[in-house]
Amino acid sequence: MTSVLQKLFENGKIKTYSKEDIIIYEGDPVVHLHHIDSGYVKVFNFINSGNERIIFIYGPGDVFPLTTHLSRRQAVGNFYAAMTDVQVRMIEPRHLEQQLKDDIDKGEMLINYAYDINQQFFQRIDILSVNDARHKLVSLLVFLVQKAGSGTSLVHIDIPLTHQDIANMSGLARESVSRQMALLKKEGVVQDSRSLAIDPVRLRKMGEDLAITT
Amino acid sequence: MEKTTIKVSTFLNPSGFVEQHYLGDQDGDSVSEGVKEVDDLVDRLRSEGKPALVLVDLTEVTSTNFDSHTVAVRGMKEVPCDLLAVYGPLSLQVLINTLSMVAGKGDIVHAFGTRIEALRWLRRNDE
Repeated sequence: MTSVLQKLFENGKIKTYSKEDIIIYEGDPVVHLHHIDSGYVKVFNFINSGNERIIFIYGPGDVFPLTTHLSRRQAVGNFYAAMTDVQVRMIEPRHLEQQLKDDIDKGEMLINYAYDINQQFFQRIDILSVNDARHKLVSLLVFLVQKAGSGTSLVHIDIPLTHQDIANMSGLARESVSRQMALLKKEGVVQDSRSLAIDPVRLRKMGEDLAITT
Repeated sequence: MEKTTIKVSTFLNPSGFVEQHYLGDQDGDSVSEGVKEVDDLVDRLRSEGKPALVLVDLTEVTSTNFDSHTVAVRGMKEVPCDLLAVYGPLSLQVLINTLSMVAGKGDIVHAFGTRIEALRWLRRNDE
């Protein structure tokens, strides 16, 4: 699927962003579709207190804001910003339309990709509304392993994350994140390392115990 | 006696456009039947010199498959309607808007989240 997506963007304009650069502002029209060559992009908005709430993360091979475009929304509903240095390829929506014309296989691939991303998106929204701190954090770790994990016996998350970032992603207070992370370290799920490192077997077991769907 | 499940119903709305509802699991046969029904009513509107506007409700659709998508693309290409407005859940909005691009009909086929939005777009030339 990724290679077909990549092909749709192969003649796209290459653009780089530095960490924290805002790529799309809430309310912007969809002027370009972006394919991520490298790096990670967060989708976020602000809750009433003014704190940032990270709803989703896009990584290498992902395309955004695809659902906004394919559902013909007039404007993008969230902010998109670089979490790391990012390189994207950009095409105008009309170029996507030209490439899809008379190619049902490309259309199907795009429909399936958009469906998968939407499912992940809805799972993230569901998790943000859960009250239990441990459930929230374990769900987030499962998501991060899928989205930005590398390695097998010990999975390293490729995005540098502070406890405040994790708080913004899980909808918890930073203090709660620190407390829960300390517990997860004690249980061997999270390990001391330069980046966030996770034991995937222990995390999977914990996820099953909490009935977290992946 | 085997129970027959209705998967598509089509009629002329008193406002003058074709209205169609899809129900349950959709496949190539059910969409093909729907396309035929719309085509007949569009022909009737055209013969009366009226604009051929079509409103399609997908809110009760439970699944679709590749065959149904292929037939839908063919229908979008072959049925001579002026505008086709569809409404349904997000996944089906994405589906229809993508298929409309495959059909090369992105300018006259639009999918929306609600019936009101779809109607407003369909009847935008009334005002």
